Amino acid sequence: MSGTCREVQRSLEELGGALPPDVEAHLGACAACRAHAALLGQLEVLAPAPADEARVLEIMAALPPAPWARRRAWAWMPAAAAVALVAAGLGLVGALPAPSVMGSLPEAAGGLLGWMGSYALDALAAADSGSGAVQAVAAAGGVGLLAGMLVTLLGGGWAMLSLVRRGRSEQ
Amino acid sequence: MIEDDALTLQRVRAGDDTAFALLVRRYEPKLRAYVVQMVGIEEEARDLVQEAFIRAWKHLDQYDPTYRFSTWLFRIAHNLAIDHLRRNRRPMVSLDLGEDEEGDAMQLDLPDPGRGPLATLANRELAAALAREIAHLPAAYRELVILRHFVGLAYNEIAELKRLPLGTVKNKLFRAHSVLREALGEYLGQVGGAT
Repeated sequence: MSGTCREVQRSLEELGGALPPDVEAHLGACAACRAHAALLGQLEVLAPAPADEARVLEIMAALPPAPWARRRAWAWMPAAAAVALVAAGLGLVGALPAPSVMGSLPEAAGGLLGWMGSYALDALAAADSGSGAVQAVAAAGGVGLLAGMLVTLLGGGWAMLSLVRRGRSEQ
Repeated sequence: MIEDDALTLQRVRAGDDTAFALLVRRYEPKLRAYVVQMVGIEEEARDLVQEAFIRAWKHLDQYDPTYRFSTWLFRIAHNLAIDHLRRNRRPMVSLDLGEDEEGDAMQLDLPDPGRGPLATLANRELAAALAREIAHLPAAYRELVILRHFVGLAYNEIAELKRLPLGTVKNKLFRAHSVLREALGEYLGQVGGAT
């Protein structure tokens, strides 16, 4: 095989499709290079066929919910908890907090937690006994108050934790 | 990474789930051809390829974009196929990516000219001869021929998958083609008009 044949066969390997005129001319006169081109042509046929659309749909249907979409929803949870905190606070105090508190949900959470704590301590102090304390708390807000405290504790704690984590990551 | 894949992955991460279908459409046939070469059974290969796409989808955040997406996908499919063969205690085929270091015997099945891609060749005698000659190639050449022609990977995809320099892949494939041409000259003369 001549150096020209090697070059032509190399170019056949990499070019594919339309060939330059000089390569075409060489193929017309060289059986070995023609055989090389024929081999590559036959091997081309072996490549996999394009995907079957039904198969693509089948695989897509088998995919679970996108994990990153779940993570995005999870990232909103502190904000949702803060909203729940404000709603609980509004329900408990029966009025809008001061604008400065509205402007800062974590501060509102802290304030509300403090208010809830002092309210409960006042009720306990006013009671003569354990059962009296329970009755006082029940009289002051009952189940709604306890539920509100729970929501406030969870939501406020979550919001605070998020703020602390964010502060650490920004350092 | 292939630019098309990069853009498609951006869309997937932005919440466009349908963009992943483009990747499935692009790589499912090649992955299936690859896994079939490893496990030898079409139905098993289909299931393993589906599992590979599910794993890629679940762990997309672990994908390192300094590599081609296709390389990552093929490695997932390769590992699944290896696990599948181990579970079923079947001998492994030669499409080794250099990750299996447990000394398992690697033996490629003789390509069957009556089934799979070779069955698409119009010249039955050429298909049989091609299967025979590919099986006789040295293992390193045979693997590259399979990846290039049966799986349909580009030279640079093979280079990254096999962790070989691009020039080495081109040289080995050229030598493999030359060996096949010499061996199949009689049949190729009929096909290509060589005298």
